[in-house]
Amino acid sequence: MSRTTSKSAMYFRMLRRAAILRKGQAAAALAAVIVAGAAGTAMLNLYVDVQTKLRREFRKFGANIVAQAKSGENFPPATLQRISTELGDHGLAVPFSYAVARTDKDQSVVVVGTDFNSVRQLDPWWSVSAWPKRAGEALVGARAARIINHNGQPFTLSVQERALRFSEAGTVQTGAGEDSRVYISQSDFHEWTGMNPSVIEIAASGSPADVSATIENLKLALPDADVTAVRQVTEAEANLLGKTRSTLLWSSALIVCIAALCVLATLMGWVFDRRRDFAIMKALGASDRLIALFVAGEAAIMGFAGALVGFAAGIGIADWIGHANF
Amino acid sequence: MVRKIFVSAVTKPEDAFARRNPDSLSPADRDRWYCSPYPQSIAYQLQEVIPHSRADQIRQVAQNEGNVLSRIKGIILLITLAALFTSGLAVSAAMATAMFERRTEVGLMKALGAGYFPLSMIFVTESVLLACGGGLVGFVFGALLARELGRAIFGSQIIVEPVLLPVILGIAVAVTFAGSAFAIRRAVKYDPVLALRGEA
Repeated sequence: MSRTTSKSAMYFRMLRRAAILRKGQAAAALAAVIVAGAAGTAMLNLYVDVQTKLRREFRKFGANIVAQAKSGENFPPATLQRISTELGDHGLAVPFSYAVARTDKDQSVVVVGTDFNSVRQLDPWWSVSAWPKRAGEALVGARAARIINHNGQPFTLSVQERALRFSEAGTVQTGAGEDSRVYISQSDFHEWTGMNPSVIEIAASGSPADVSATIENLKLALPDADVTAVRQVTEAEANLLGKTRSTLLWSSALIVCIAALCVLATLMGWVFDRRRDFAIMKALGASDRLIALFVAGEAAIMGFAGALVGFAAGIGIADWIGHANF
Repeated sequence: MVRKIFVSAVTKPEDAFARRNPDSLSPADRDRWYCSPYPQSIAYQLQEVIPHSRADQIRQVAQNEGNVLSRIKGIILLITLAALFTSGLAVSAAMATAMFERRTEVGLMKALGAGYFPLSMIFVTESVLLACGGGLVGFVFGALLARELGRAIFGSQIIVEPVLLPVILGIAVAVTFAGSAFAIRRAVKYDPVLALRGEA
């Protein structure tokens, strides 16, 4: 019993003294392991994280699900509430109601009722000079402004012989259909025309599987609506994410290989440096197995300590990259 | 009659310069704006070519594309830097081992009267030559790897610019120099007596 205790005590004493006597080299070898650990952790973390980060970027493309009422019908007010509960905090649902109005010069223009606060989050690419804040204010599309030709003055629009006067809060420019519409708040729209939203645009977050599940849930919850994915957005997203991830995976593999080479070279140098020490040990009767055990023990301790520190450093680096880049 | 034309153009992400009004820029800046593939400048030129037309960028595509692309570009840049840093460390470790193995050689040269400076010059020259050779092989290898990855991931060719070769060689020399400086410094400081007796 005491013999084995003293043997293992000697073993640990050797390990400890080797580290203390050759502080410089031991530190270099440890540093190499730390760098390798940090590189591996940072890369793998980034690999996992990039997907979430890029998904968030992709939500700026706007809705990826559209719920449409059957033609000629509207959603009752409870529907939006229902969709919002269904989504929880994994998405945003924005109502849109459409009507064709006539200007006082008898030209037609599409008027849209919506919730400005939500649209602002859903479609951040809209270039808006000023968002409406009060009732009776309208957001006028750049092309619609030329049709109404009101020079920033209040203007009158009529739907089914009911005329209403709006003041322009600002203009919106997107380069697409939004430019030829006039946006007013949903409450103004409802008071004016008595109509409810006919389209609800939804930005659901999560993986393609999550989005499909959301679509299925919404279909069950709204049997009279037409719920579809916006394929232009979802397909492009899946495609780009997949490609970015494989690029990242390959470059991570490359970096981890280089880091492993670094560890290999350092540890070889360290062992080579001490071949005299090993010779003395052997002359004193140490077996090959004991020396192999000794080097393996050193490598294990170094690997463990280095990996621990490297892991912490790698998380820090990945976090920093996440902040700096996104 | 055609009323509307959709244009799909490869554009550069919009920045502050892109949002400037070209008519208020100085002639040199105006040329730079005009010739950069910003969505705005392409729209501007289309309006010039087609009289009485109006060209607008489709903001949903143009804005978001720029956003996502700049993020991905940032990640790739950071990864490249990380790869360079780890390579520098790997070179440093390999050089340390190589120098240690050659300490009798260093001891002999020092015993024959070689000074600190010529001695380090020998090793620096050696490492620069190594860097050039390694850089060249690495460039060919990297170009092949990039081509294969491009084909596997994007299904398209990644064209390797020959212009990059001197840049790569420069980077290889810089990384090798930074990596081996410490090892060389340590090597030229060996005591010749101890080194020749194999006791260093």
